[in-house]
Amino acid sequence: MTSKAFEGFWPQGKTCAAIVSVIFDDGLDAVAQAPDLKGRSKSFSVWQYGAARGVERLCNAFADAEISTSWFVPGVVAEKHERLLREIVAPYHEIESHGWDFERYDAMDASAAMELLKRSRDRLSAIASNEVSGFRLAAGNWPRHFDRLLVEAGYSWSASLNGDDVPYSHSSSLVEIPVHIELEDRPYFQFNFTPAFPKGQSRIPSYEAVLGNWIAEFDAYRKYGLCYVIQLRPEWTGTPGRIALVEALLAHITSFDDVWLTTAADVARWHASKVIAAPADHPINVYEAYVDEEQARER
Amino acid sequence: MIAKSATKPAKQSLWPEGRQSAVALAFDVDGPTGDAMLDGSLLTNPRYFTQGAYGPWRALPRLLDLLAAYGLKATFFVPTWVVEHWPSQCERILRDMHEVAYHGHYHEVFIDCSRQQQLDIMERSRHIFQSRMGVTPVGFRTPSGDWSDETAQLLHEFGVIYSSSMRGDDRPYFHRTPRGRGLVEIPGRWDIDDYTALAYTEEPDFPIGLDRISGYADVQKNWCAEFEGYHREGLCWTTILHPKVCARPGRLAILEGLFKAIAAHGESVWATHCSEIAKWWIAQHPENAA
Repeated sequence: MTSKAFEGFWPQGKTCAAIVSVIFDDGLDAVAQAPDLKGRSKSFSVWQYGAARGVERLCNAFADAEISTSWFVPGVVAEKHERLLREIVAPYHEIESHGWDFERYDAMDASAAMELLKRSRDRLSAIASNEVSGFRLAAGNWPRHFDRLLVEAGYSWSASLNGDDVPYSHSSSLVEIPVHIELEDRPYFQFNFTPAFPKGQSRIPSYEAVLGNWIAEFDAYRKYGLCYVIQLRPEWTGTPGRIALVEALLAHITSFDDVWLTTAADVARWHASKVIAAPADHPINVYEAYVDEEQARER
Repeated sequence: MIAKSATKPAKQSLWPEGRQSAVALAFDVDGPTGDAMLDGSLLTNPRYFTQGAYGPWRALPRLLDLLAAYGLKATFFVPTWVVEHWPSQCERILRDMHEVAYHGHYHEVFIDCSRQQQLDIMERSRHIFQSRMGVTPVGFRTPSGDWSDETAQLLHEFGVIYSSSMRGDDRPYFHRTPRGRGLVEIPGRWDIDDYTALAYTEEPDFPIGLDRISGYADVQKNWCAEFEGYHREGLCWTTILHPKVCARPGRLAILEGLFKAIAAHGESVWATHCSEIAKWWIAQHPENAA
C-alpha cells in the first residue's frame, strides 16, 4: 500500500479534491444535547445567530471566492428558514439532507425512517436548485444496513461516517464521503456558559492555531491526493471575527490550480461512476465482519 | 550568598559508545479496539468504529512511509484483534524492520482482569502473533490505564523481558519481584501521549469535558522540547503515540518535524527498538550487581 493516491485517481488531472460544506441546524444540534435551551432565550440566541447573520456572511465569503458549496439542512429548518435558503443559499449552492428534525434512526423502525428520509428529501428538493441526493446523519448511531434504506429513499451518497480520506462505497452502492471532526468548526468554537458547551467549558482557542490546523490538513490532503471536507456552521464561523479564517482558508485552497474544488454531490457522482467495491479490509467491511463475528459468538 | 554544592554527577553515558541518549519511538496501533469494543457499545456505533479503523487502514501505512524516509526504527504495540483484521498492514511493520509487542487482544483493562484472565489474554495474543506474523514478542505496554499487582511478575514468567507502561521515571529500571529482578521498565510520560493534545471524539466524548484540539504547531514544539530535554540529559525517551490520532494527514507533519529534530543529532541519538534498549539495560546491569 502506498501513501499517495495513484496518478490519475482524480478527474481532469487534479491532485486532490476539496469540498466546502455547511451544516445549518439552527440550534437543533444544541437542543438535542440540552433540551431546556429552547426556554433560555439568551443562551439559545447563541445558535440563532447562524440564521440571523451567519448564513449570509458565509455566503458572501463563498461568493467572493467564487465557489459552490454543499449545505446540510434538516427538513424543519428548511421550513422555518425557507426564504433565507431560497434567496441566499439555493441559487449558488447545493442543499442536501440533514434528516428531518434530529430524529434518531437507530431508535425507529424502517418504515418510520423511510417516511422521514423521503419527507426531508422532498421538502428540501422543493427549495434547492439541485436534486437532493446526499445525506448527513444528524443524531444517534448509523443503524446496520442504513445505506440500503437511504438508497431506497432516493439518496445516492452520505457524508456521515469515517474510516477513510477518499470516497468509498457501501455494499448497497451508496457512496460515503468520509468526514473528520478536526475539519469541523464546532469542536473548536462552540461555547456557552449555562448550559455548558462544551461540557468542560474549554477555552476558546487561538484563531491562528485553528486556521493553522485546517491549512496543515489541507496541505497534507493535497500532498497525499485525498478528499478534504471542511465543515462549517454559520453560528460559529459566520461571525465578523472568524469569517477571516474562512476567507484565508479559501484563498489558500484556491491558490492551487491542481485542486478539484467542487461540491460533495459532484465527488459522489464521480466516485459512483467508477463502480469500485471497497476491499475486504476496508473499515466499512471490517465493521460488518466484526458485527457478524460477535453475533456468531453469541449464538 | 550561599555557595551551591556540587550536585551534578560526573557525566557517564548510560548508552553504547558514542550515544548520548536513547530514543524508543513507540506507537500503539489500537484501531477500533478498547473500551467500546469491550463493553459492546461499538457494535451499534459504526461511526466510532470507522474512526478507530482509520488507524490501521490509512494512518499506519503513511506512518511507516515517514519512518522509512527518516531511517527510524520504532516499536508498535498492537492489540491482536488488529493483527487478525489487518494482517497485511501489520506484516509490513516487521518487513520494515520495526518491532511488534503485546498490547492485549481487545485492548483489555488489565487491572480489571483476574490473574487467569490476564494469562489467557497473553496466550491468545502470543498465539496470534506466532501464527499470523511468525514472531514471539518480548515487550508489553499495558492497555487502557493500570495493570494489577500481579501483572509484572506474570509477564516476566510468561517470557516477556520488558514493559513500557509506567510513568514514574525518565530512564529504564527493573521491576522487583519476590524472586528478585523482574521486567525492565521503559517508562513513558503523558507529556508525549498524543491523546493529551490531539485526540477528540464525540459520543463517546473524549476528552470528557470536550476540550479543544490543540494547535498543531504548538504540539510539534512541545514534543520536540520533550525529546531535546531527554537528549540533553542523556536519558531514554519513549513515545505513546497512536496512528489513528497522530498519523492523520495534517498531523504527519508534526511527526516529521519531530523526526527531523531527532535526525539532526545524528548518531548521538540511539534511536532503536524498545527490546534493544531492554537487552542493553539487562547486559549493563548484571543481576548479582543489581
